[in-house]
Amino acid sequence: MDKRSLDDAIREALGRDDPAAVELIWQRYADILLAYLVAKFCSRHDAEDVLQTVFVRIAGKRRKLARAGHLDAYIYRIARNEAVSHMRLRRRSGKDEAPRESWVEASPGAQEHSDVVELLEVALSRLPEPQRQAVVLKVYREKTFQEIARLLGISLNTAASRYRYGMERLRILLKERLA
Amino acid sequence: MSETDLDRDKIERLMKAARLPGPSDALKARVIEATQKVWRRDSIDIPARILLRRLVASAAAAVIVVALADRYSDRTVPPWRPGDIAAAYQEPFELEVFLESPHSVAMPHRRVRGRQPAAIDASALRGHVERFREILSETLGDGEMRSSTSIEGRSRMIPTRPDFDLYS
Repeated sequence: MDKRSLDDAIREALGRDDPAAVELIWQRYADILLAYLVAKFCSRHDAEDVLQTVFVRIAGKRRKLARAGHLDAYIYRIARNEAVSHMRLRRRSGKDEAPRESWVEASPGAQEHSDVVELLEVALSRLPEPQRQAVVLKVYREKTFQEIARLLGISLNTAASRYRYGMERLRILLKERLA
Repeated sequence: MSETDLDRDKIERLMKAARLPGPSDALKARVIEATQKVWRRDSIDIPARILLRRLVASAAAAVIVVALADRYSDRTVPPWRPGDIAAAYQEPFELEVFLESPHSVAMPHRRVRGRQPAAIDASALRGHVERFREILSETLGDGEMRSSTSIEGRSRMIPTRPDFDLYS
């Protein structure tokens, strides 16, 4: 099922107030939302917690969601708001620093390059958050700049430039490895 | 191809050595369960919430209607403001003027007090009684005499027409 027909199916289920809509929303949005949240927090644990909160919030706002002109834009906005709230809470509780946990893992064909994976994780963590989000979504989820722009609520040009600046910074950070 | 582009290709290849794992099945089960729980609970809550909203809307409308009626009605009394009293002119209070005023609230009390007898004087009362006795005895004496005397000798206590006895 492609994205458009999935969105239609979600709308239909929302119109019937059918809880099965949750599964469809998961199928359509869980992966990209989790990638966005992991890139934002550099923590898989936090990202999973916030993803659950986002879905609960979606259930609470399902009537508004059913009437929304752009389903994806509405869901992405909920995710952005929840992410900001979580960051604020983390800052208030004095846990501003991201927890020391691995949030990327070695690809199935590159198990032996664990040092590369660690290096990449450190380099990505050092990127400014907006650039990291653009790079992660582009490289690891192969999203278009259009999709990245919609998810982050920014213009297409901003999304492209964030990616470009992010890659430039990564080139500097990984200079020794590339040499 | 520039050096920067070459480096970018190298970085992208390097990055492919790592991957960002997608959501696990355990996470999916956890999130969907929590979400559907909230979904069902909200579905039950909705009728009660609609009723509550209607009640609140009715109460708000009633408050608005009463407020508007109070504001624009002909019988509206201007709202009391403590500042008005401080600014208003007030005549100095004089007890004598107050008591002599014909519409004074003190007047009914004064009238009632005026109707009450003064302090009872025993000798005056005795004098009154004596005087009543005299009048009474005179009257009785006159009655006895009336049969033998003329009309002119009647008591002044019993007013009669001058030709009374002529027709009796």
